[in-house]
Amino acid sequence: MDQSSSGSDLKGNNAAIIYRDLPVGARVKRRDGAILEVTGNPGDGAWLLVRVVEDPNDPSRVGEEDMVFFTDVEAVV
Amino acid sequence: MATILRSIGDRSLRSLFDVEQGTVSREIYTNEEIYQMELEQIFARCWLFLGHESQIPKPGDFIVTRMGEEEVILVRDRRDQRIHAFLNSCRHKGMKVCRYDDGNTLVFTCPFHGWSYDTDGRLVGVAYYDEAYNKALDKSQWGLHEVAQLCNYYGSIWATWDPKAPSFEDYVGAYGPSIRHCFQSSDGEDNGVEVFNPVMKWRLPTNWKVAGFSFATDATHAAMTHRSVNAAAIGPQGERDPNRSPMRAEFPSEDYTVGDHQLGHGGAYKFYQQPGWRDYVDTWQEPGVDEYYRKTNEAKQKKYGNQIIPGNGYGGGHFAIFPNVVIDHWRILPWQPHGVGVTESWRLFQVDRQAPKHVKDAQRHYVMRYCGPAGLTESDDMENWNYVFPASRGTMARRLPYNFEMGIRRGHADARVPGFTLNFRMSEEPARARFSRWLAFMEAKSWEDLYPVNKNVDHKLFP
Repeated sequence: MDQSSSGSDLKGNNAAIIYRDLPVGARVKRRDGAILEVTGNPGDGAWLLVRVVEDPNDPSRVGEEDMVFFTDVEAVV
Repeated sequence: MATILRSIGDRSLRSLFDVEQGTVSREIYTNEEIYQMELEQIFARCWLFLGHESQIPKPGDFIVTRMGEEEVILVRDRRDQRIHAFLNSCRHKGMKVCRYDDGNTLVFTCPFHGWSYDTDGRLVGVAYYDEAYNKALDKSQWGLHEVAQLCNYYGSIWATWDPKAPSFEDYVGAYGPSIRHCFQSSDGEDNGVEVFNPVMKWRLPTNWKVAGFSFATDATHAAMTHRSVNAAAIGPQGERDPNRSPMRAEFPSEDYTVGDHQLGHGGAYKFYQQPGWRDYVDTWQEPGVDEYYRKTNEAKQKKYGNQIIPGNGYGGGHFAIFPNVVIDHWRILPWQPHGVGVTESWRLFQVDRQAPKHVKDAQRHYVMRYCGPAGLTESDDMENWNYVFPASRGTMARRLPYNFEMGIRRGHADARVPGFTLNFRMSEEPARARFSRWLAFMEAKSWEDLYPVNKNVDHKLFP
């Protein structure tokens, strides 16, 4: 059975590679629903440097720079 | 007073020196307890050489260097480009946050639990921060451990863990202008060099002081140790040609060995006696190299036409900055402690930053022939350094002292270089100065007991 993932799926076997290689400008959805734009990818497969694009829980955070750990990312959007 | 040495009964460190005879106990080189004290008393307090700014030219560039036995990350911040030095140890559980010798990065992420640090050392990423830490961990208190003081001295980077250490300029004393000059390019411009990458690193089975305390002192070893390589002529010209001129033109100077017993530095010292600079002598086999250096030499002659070159600057011989680095105008030699009987030997080589590729290539090939684990001259040296330690640490051998009496009682002061004791061009004054400073550090409770923070102390050990 092919368990590999592709495209924006961050749940399959290839998730770490997809995450590691996400380019600057890509957008991801955090588990709390916030949309984040990648501003830097250290390539460690664990962290992304991001800017908050949308945050339904706290709109005042839009524009803030942050880091996001891979377990907090639901999908590439 | 520190007591040590169960093997021969408790003795003070001071008693390991016979200052009248100029002898030094081998225990200083072979005793594990003394070695552990050195890491604490010397390497945690002294200014140490970390690297050169040309190794990290771009934002986010880093190298892993060392302070004592411990790894330190030297990094240029990706935002404001300031240079920082951090202990390579995650504040969470101590894992190395960087396992590369050099590179460029946005953050340093610990591979253990994922704590992530920005290039300014701030802890910026903690996995499961919201759920597991309930957002309560104060990240601002858990950044990478940074050196207490860092100095960029004309491109060379130095640091100390001790916030109470004096300024770097006060620490190096009268050798400051010499260090500055050794980082000038061959045309006399300040901070005009870069160093070749990668840096040579290899380990020697010997104590760090065997080479570190004698390399810039040991003028009498050359005739014997390097007899064969001198016969083969290891200079840039590659072979001895009796019809060629010497590598350097004559230029009036006085040559000494010197030791600063208050600060511990010492080695060769050359006073230039008139303004200007020597003429260039063609030296290189490789095409186009002499043309380059002839031109830069002319620029230097112009620059120094009306002033005397700093003592022991370009071409003046090498000198040691306490505790463990030797410098001259074409190479930097840190001797990193890695255990009482293991030294990690590093070599960095300066070359004009503006030099064309063919000149840099020729220079690089020359230093590789000369220095390092495969270099002809240091292959000679390593035979001595490597066998000194096992031949000195045996039950009988360690009872016999080393002899450092060459030139004892023949030193004199000179107003041109305050603090220096000048001696004949072949003497062990520089090594004796290092032992003076070594003992001062080993006995001192803090910088309050040490010159120049305390100006009333006299560290000079030998007459």
